Amino acid sequence: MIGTNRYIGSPVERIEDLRFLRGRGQFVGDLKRETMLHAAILRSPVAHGLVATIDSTAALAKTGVRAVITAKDIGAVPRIPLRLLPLPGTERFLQPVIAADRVRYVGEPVAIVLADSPALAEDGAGVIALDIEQLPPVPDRHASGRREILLFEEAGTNAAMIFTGVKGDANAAFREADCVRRERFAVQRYTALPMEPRGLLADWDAAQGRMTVLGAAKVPFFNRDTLAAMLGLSPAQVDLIENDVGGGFGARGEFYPEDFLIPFAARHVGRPVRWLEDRREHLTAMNHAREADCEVEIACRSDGTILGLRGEVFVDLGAYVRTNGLIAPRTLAQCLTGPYRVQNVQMTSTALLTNKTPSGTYRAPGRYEGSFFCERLIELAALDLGIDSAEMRRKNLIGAADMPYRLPRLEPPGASMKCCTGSWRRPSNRSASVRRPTGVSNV
Amino acid sequence: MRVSFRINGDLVAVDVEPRLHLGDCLRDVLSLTGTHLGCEHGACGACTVIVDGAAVRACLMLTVQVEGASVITVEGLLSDEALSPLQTAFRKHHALQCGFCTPGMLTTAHALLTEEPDADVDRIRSALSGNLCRCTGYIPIVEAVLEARAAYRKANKP
Repeated sequence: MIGTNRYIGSPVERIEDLRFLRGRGQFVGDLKRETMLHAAILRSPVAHGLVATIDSTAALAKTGVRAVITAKDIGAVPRIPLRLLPLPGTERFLQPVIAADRVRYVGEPVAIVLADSPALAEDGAGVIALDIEQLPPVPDRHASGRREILLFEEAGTNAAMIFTGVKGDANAAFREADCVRRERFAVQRYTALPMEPRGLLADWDAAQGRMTVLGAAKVPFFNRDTLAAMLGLSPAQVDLIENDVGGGFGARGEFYPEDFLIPFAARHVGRPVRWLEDRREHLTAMNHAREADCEVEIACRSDGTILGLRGEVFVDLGAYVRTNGLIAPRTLAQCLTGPYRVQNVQMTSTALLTNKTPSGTYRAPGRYEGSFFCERLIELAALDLGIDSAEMRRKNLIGAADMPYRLPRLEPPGASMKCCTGSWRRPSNRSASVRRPTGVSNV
Repeated sequence: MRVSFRINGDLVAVDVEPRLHLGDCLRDVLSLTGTHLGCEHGACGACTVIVDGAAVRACLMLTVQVEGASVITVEGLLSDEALSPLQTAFRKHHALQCGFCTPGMLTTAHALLTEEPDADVDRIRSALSGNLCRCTGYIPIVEAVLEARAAYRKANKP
């Protein structure tokens, strides 16, 4: 039985504020273990290449360096599974947790150095002799589409996935339209920058057969099961613990190569291992996002009624398909029409591999890009028609009578989606006479 | 190298490598983990501490440079466990969310209000412009600092 709600509409003091304000937060970098070693990760300095040799002799000769781990020490190198949209075909493009014989982006892990302090671990990483035979890189989606250079030769393509969103008959709508406007748009690559870079502290209890990993920041149960499978343990033997986290924004907390490498290292040497990402590392290692361009067109009546939308979107996905990498390309195929009533849609969205850091979700993945493409197109169409663009938007908004509104059918996986009725009543205890600004939200 | 300085009022002597920056010394040698490292190249302000009254980046200062100095960290802003008026105002105005940038915000604002308890909103925004927050936006932080001014004026009275 729910009584009167005391919380909605009133400020609530947060319990965590007290430790944060006192400087007593428990972020992963604040956590220690007796006998803990510190990890530094040697990453590929080149975008595309074949690993010839990794010589750790000089690193191991340094005082304080305890171990260097490469793909050879791991044996069968696990690949990171997709958490979302694990569609057939994607298994060809999954990221190995460490580069064995080929690197595909600057920042790809090649070796892990364990030492008595973070500085000594970095010293060790700095003297590993890494010989990489460079291959010509695929710098952008245009080069990717030409297929002259393939990231995965055995796949025969750089297209990780092609999605289509279809509704009605777009070609017929365009034939009947009074006004057609076609344009190209692009959104640049960028990414989340949580204030606290990532970090992990892994502790292997050999007697109990138990792995504890501190520093989890998102989806700990999926990641726990993933790590357990990679380490050959049962999920019950693995604990992922989420302590204080300095921001996530969708990018942090997905299963990254380090989420295997650091626990593996701890078990390998039989000591706790802590790894704290530095900012430079963060910029090459954590998921990037957003890079997409398109050629899209809109068909309208002379009064501004939208009849159809069609076109192609290309997403520069980076070097691998990571855990949630297909969400933005999927959303661009299905949801580009935003909050507008568009009866005829034909969108194609192609996710193309390039020699750049892999992409993932970051605050409204695909929605941000799609909203820009759609809204800009409406703006230009309104200009062509000589009508007010705000009025054109109002005229085409999905209304209560359109609910449940049907979105374009998505292939793959072959799914239809409807928007819920979204009928919310005005709170009865607020005066209806108070004038409030009106906005439109697209969620 | 042996370095002696005051940390939150107490004299300490540490034996450190010349390359160890003050942020790492505070966190790893003195176990004062309230000072956070967000970028380690002076861009984010999370590691701000107060050295002889001035707000400085602990990641851009070597430990050896604080020989003989007095260093205040976020842990030193407490008096007898009670939140300071500045910390109380941060809590009241929801001026923190994830809490990672908060120590740097507090030390920067404390250094400012100690010197300039009458700082206006533009001065406060200017002083905080070197501190990044990715969660709250800056408005509640500025509101909290504005409210804390009264306590600093009082403290400054002879």
